[in-house]
Amino acid sequence: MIGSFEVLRPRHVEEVTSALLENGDRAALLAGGTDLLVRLKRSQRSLDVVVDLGGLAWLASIDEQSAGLRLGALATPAAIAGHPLVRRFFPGLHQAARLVGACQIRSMATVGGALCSGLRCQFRDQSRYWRETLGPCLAHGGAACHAVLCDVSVLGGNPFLEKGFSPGPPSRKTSEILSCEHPQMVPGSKSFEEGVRGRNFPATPEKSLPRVRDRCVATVACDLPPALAALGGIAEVVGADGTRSVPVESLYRDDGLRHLDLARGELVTGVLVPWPARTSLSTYAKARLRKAVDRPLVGVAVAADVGPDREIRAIRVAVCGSGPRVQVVEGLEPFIGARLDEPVAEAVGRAVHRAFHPSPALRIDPAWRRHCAGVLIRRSLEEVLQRSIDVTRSLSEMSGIDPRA
Amino acid sequence: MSGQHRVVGQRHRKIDGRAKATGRARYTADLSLPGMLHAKILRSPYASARIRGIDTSAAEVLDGVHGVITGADLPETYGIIVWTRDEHPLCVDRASYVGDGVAAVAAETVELAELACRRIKVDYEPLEPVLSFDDAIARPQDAVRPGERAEKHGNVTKSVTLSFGDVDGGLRTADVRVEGEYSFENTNHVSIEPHAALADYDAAAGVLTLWSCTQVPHYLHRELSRVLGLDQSRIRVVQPAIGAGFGGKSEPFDLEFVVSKLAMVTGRPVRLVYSREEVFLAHRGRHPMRMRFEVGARRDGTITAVRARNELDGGAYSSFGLVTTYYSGQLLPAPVKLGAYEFSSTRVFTNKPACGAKRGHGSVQPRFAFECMLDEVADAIGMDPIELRRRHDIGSNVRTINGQRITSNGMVQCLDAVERTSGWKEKFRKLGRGRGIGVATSMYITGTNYPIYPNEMPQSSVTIKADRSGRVTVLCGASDIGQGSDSALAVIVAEVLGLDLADIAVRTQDTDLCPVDLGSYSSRVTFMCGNAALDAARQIEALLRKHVAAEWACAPDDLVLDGSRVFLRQDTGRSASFADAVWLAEAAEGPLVRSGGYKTPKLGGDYRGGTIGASPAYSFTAHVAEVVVDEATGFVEVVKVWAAHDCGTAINPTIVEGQVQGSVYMGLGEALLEAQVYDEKGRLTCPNLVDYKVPTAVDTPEIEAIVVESHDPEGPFGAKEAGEGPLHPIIPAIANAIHDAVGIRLRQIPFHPARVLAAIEASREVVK
Repeated sequence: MIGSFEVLRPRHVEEVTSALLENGDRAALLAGGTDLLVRLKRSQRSLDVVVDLGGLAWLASIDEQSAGLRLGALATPAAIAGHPLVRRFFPGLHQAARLVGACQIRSMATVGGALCSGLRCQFRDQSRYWRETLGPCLAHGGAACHAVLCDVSVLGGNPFLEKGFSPGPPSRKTSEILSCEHPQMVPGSKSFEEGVRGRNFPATPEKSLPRVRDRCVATVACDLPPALAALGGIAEVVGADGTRSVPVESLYRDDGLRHLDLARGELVTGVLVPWPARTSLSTYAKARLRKAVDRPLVGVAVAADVGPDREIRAIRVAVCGSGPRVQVVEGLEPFIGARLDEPVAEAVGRAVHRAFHPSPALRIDPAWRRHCAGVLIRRSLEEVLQRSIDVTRSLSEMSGIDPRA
Repeated sequence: MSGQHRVVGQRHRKIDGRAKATGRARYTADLSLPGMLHAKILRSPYASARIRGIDTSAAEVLDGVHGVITGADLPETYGIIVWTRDEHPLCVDRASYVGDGVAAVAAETVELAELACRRIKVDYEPLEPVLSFDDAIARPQDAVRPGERAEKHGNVTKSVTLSFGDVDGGLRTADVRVEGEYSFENTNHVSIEPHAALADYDAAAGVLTLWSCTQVPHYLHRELSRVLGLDQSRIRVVQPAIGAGFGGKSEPFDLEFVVSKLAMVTGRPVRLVYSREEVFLAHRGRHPMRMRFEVGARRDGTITAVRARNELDGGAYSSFGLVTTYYSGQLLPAPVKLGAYEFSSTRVFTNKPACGAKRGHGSVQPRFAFECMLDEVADAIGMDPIELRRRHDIGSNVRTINGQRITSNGMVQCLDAVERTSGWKEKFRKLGRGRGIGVATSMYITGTNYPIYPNEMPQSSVTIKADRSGRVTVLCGASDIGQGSDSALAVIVAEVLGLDLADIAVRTQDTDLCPVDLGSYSSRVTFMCGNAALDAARQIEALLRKHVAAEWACAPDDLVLDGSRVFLRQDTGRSASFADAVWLAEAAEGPLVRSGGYKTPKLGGDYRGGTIGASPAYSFTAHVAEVVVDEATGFVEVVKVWAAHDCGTAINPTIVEGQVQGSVYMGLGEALLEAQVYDEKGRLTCPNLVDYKVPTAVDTPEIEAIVVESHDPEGPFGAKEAGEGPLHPIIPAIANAIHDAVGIRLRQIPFHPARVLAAIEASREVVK
């Protein structure tokens, strides 16, 4: 049940910050409501105050500035996707906005919400009844993260079917691809067994628990944040002490319980996306099981500046799906100066595959998700390579994965 | 053929279509009565637990809480199959799955009812749950349903072995033998309307009225009487508009008893609407099934023998399981003729939500396995898989090897149609790696000749009342769950009486008004209610003809009923309105109310279980699916489906096409996405429509529905079913298309990309 709370409808940002300052965690911002209302209905949050941003309509504007394009925090994915300058200069952002949820979500959600909304976790985003059958997780005062302890193989937890499945002997490559990446999650291992045993309604938290159980691994699962991070987007954060600029990826902390690096009273009022170099191109691709509605299991954004001889002048890759932060992939410097061709695209794909560790908060085979991250990167770079292909169109196919590649 | 009919075979709007499209239709959750209370059910957090005690006092003292009940208040059992009544509305001493109802509250608001539920203290003694078929067999002492039966059979709820012909010989002498182990997931119906019920008890008259979105008002009526201890004559069941069923509302559910009891306890109307999570927990969806098949064939494609071993994971209660166990074997021996056939099916109890009937009850799973194996046989003997099926079609007016009587059979026309429209010959094995095309077929029952409780009364009855105004009311106990059965009845009556559809009112929603129909299950309504309506309409027609003819001094056969008027065939200048004709007939005969009934002829094999799967007519379907497989990620995209369905006669082709498309859509979801997966404690991991994935419109391919008409000799105007048969072939057609695309045989649904990728990688390794 949604509960009861006071609704404020401020006309100025200062009133918002003061409401947030006054109420702290007991207050939440309401923009499009596509995330908050769902959480309230699931009793995931209980609030005293909801600050409705509907009175700050000017925050929805998209403005051309000398440094870049400024997206007001209340700009919707539909507005972003439909903006001619976004389409022309930021194809990756255009694509990400088009792939958000479904039509209704794209019309209601906001870019500020996408950056700041709650994280996705299939163990937490459930009804109160369901959560209680599992026992409280870290987010609700429990001692352990259920996701970390769970076997998240593709149809994990259904031994009847898994035993019946014999697709032939797994190849070395298959087992490499589909094996579990997190040692603590391997069934049969000591920590796994301990985890399973101690999982329900733990009366007293065990002191010897592996440290990783203490960390909430809920994940960013939104399309816009990685797209903005790859493009070097700068968030405009307003608080009681004024305004500061924060690179989009730096908005996040590696802690699912408090994943936004915002001080009490602060809110994101907009994002500035710097104008790209003329030779640069951006892409966004997502893996999901359905072609609409679903959030990204992996969201991959690339911004690359490729010279006339196909030399890579700059490359920036941002990924979501690995946990509470938007991950800007490090270690791509060696590719600067390299000539972008298929082997290099493959190599960058491998580098991202290495760096990307899918969050166990989603119950979809993590090894497959990781594999998809590599494939999506490779294909994104091949898109960049073949400028003749209409990037904004072809990546929308196959849930963001182009079957022709 | 449709040329000789005026209304039958034409494209009409559904008679309830506009009301549903505009929001005017009222569903159970829309209904509200003065003083109504809201109910909530407290559900078990354990898959298996003894209930040592329940303390409801903290809930009862809450202001605004008017009634709290537990299993002790409703000790009588119920169940859709009269021999396996093993459910209580609320658990009495044992909770058998995560979600089993334990107590219920009626309060002023839903929020308060929920709060009160949370205050109820239940003393559980958790037990180690049984969560898989193998576990159920291995631990007979840990009976999910303890009792006399469990002493003898452990967790096995039903075990059937039936053998027809010389299976060993057939396999031994076959030129080709293929074997395979297949498995099918637990899938839900996902009706868009969650279950809902509203009860009102008139204590002075001692009469209970229950509004519920059930598919089986008559069976519900009987079970309510049993559980509530009220005489059936003191209960009225009303069905408002229903937002789909697919078999998910074809048995009584806890909420119907709970609101009834709470209404009796509190003296106020009580309503309960399931959350989506409760729909998933109440379940009754597809049985997870593991199937081991052996198929023997000759080089010419003759199937010499089939042996099937089916293992069904039934969940915590019997539900339809007895029938499902038979259906898992009984519906396979057509359309392809089998030389010998044996199946043995075993269903077990596990501590998970109970499985029951879902569109294509019991036979979708083995059909998946068998049609994939036929593809392997065709591959092995080098024959085109469409050609194999065409050459070995069982034909019409024959008996299957297990004794089922096939009358009309349009299989070959279906195969011809999908072969032609899909461009099969240009595509099969020719599309290049990554793209493929596959075929599969099926047959399905048009109702069963077997009522759920044994009786000699009609399976369907229809009463027609012709009013002096010219308006005709059709009364029938059938449920229009969206499949269009009300519209089909209206068309049939309009055809016989020469009426416009607007002159007909179909009232199918009230046990006080309507004669009994057994319900909307087994694809029986158009055939059985249709025949009953035909019977009643023809009686009215005869009376009208007789008395108009007497007045006009002509022979009854000289009259034509059309456009809500009566004409003289020879002289079109003479006519009377339908209402005038009613006046004449009513003056002579008294009220123009006539009833018709339908009962199947004696059918089925002469052996125990031989009547299960026996139907007065069978529908036939062929599908071709074209897919693209992304070999780097494992994603399967179904590009287009061609689906030809023999429905006998299309009473309304638009609705038949809609049923075919809806069936393809539903099977597509099962093939690619859907699975109710439970964790190691028996918790459903996907109790919502974000985690349990049904295809979106964007995921749904173009579906070309092709209506084939074989004109069944016993169906109303030749009609047979169209609602369930067309689901079966899509899953194996996709599997066979994936094989054509990338050379892998997928034997486990759903064809999730990670699974497809693993199979592709494994096949590459084998090639190396």
